[in-house]
Amino acid sequence: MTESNRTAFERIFGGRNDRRATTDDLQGLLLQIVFALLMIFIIAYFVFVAETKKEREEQVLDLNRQKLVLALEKAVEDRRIKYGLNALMTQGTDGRRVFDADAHISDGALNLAPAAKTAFSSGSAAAAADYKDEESLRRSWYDEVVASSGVEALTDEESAWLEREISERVESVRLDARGVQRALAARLQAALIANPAIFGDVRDANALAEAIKLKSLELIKDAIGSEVLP
Amino acid sequence: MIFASLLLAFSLSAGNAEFDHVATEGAARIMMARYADQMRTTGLSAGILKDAMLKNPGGFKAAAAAKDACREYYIAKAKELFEHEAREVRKRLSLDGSVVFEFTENDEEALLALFPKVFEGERKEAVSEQAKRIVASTRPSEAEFDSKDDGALRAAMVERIAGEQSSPVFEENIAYISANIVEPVIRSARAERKRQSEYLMRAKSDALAPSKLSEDLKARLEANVDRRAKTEDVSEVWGVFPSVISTSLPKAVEKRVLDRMESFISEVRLEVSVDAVADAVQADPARHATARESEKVFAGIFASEVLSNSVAAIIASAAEGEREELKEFLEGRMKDDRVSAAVAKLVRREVMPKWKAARQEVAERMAKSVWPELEDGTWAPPADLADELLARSDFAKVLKAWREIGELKPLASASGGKPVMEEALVRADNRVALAFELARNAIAAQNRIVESVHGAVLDSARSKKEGFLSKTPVLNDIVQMLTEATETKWGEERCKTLWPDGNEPKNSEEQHVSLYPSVRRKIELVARKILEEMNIPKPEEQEPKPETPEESQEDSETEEELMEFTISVTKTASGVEVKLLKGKEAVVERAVDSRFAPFDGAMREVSKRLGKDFLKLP
Repeated sequence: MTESNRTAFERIFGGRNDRRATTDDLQGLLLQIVFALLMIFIIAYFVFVAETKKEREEQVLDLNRQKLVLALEKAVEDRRIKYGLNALMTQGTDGRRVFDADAHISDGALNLAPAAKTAFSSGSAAAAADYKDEESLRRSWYDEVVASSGVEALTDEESAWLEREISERVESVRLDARGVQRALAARLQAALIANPAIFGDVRDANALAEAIKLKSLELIKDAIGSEVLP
Repeated sequence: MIFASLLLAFSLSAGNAEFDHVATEGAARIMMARYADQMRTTGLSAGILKDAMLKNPGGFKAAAAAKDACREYYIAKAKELFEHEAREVRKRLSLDGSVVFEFTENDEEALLALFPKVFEGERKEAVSEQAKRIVASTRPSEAEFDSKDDGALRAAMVERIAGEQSSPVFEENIAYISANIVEPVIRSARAERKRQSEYLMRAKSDALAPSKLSEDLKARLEANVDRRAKTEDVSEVWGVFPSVISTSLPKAVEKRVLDRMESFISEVRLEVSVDAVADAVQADPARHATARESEKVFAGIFASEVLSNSVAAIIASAAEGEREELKEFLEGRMKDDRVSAAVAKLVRREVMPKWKAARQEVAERMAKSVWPELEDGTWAPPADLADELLARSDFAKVLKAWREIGELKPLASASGGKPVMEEALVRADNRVALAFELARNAIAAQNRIVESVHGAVLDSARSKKEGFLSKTPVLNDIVQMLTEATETKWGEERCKTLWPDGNEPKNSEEQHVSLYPSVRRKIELVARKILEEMNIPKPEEQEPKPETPEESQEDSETEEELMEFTISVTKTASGVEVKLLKGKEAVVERAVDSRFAPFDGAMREVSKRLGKDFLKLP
């Protein structure tokens, strides 16, 4: 605030008793106030416009993404089926599908229904084969998702986003497939832990834990006749 | 849908974590199970109890209480180690505290089963280790050693040493201290005290007066102890024990002085005067009649003399300033057993033999004075008595009681009733026996002479009978002829026969001159025989008439001839020689070779010849 303004201000609102505020002081000050308000509104207007434009663009993007996401979800579901995961699902009372590893273990051994066993066995083999080359897998996913989504052209941003999502989904599916295998293996570990003589004289705790893991995975492999994901 | 998909994905991938978690937790449980197994089997690592006991020995002093305390500690430590192991396992496997491992009752029971043996071993180790660190710088003083008995001293020292240690001492090490630290000290002190006592006995000192000797010995002992302090090991060095000064020193002084006294006693030499002995015997003959009683009297006299001589000698050997004290000391110990024994021994060994010789001489003198005729050999028994006694078969027994024989009573009572020394009496007995033996020899010699003159007298009688102018001798003539011939010959041979060594008594011309009655009787018998033989032709003129046994017996009955034979048995290198001697002449001899002929055969032959040829026995 300049000196003159300060002075005018003081005059208007009191403080100095020796001089009263002049009309010029008042006008000058009001002008400055109006100008400031005007600027605020102008700025707000431009921001509003920009936001609106962005929202519109995002709406367009969202629509593409929704298509892509749907395609991704489908790809994930396909992979779950392919890897035999769905064959091990059971229907919960609330209608949701759940995976209960205990249901597939009896007397310390894997006990799958024949169809489920076949599906899980072939699925594990397929998963092992697919995840041997994750780069190729992601590429195949990308092509598949773009093709099934119906989106003709992807912006760079969308493409980058899709790649990230695919990477994420690929990893997620891998963890699911691996998780199922390991959940079953975990149930088999109990018997191994109850009879630790099988592990010989392993003294290191970590080495022992690894031995338990490896042995349980071996049992799964033997039971299903195919490789498991590392 | 996305949400459901997300939820499903979450449940599927949860297996990854579950897989890792189960394996990890399982590995942890296996590790802890192994740890628990090992703990149940072998217990905790060695040294845990030992270290605990050594760290706080005060809490484990008594063995029984230590066992209880260790038991609790053992279990608590096991739990602590178990928890520590569990933490380590969890840490290594990155598990959180939700994974719980329990130290079960079984684990505790298993450890308690192992505990007794573990405790025993580790208690022993702890005790042993503590024992190695026990040092003792304390020793009792000499006065303390003297004033307390072993038990009290040992207890005091153990307490002292235990109190000196930097930490409380285990109960077992109290016994260790007693046996290995205190006992050697007590033994050393005891040995040193004994050595000091013995030193007082053997230390050289010229002092004789007890007080001077005591001072000298004490000074020497102190010097000896000081010397040893410089040269001996510290553990063996002690000062002078008060008890040695108060008890051993006076004993040593007493013993040493009495030892000196004994040595002086043993050097005393007393001469025994025969005259003195004779005077004593004369003054109280009854008391000195028997050697035993006399010996008692003289032993007392000599003992007093020996004692006074030795006291004088020892006092003379002492320094001037010690004599009075020494004299007073010795006078108080005259009746000491040692002194008495030494005096008695010297008297017995040195003096009494001399006294015995002197007494013998006195007895000889007495015998000579009471029985001079027996001593100088001038006495001879009456002929009749000699004949009678010598003919008796119990002559020796009778002779022993010669004093009871009537004819000899005057001789026996020559002492006039005064007591006579027993040696003199024995001497008289021997002299009387000798006199009778002399008579026996005279009788035998006379009888031999009768025999020897038989032939000559017979010839003489015959020639007288055949002579024209001579008268035929009758019995009395013949007796006279025989008697004269015998007396003549006896007269010639008497002294030589009775005293062949020439030691004739002064009345030898009077002794055994006449013929003994038994000889005269023999002469009569021989005369009768001669008378008979006078009428018998000479052996070359007629056949010898064999004697009938009745005749020979009649002859032998008519001849009362005293025949004396001796059988001599001499063993030579090759055999045995048996001789039948008549007087000195061997009338039968038989020698046997001890390798071939038996000895009794020779004896039988000799005795047979004796009986048949000489005694004319049937």
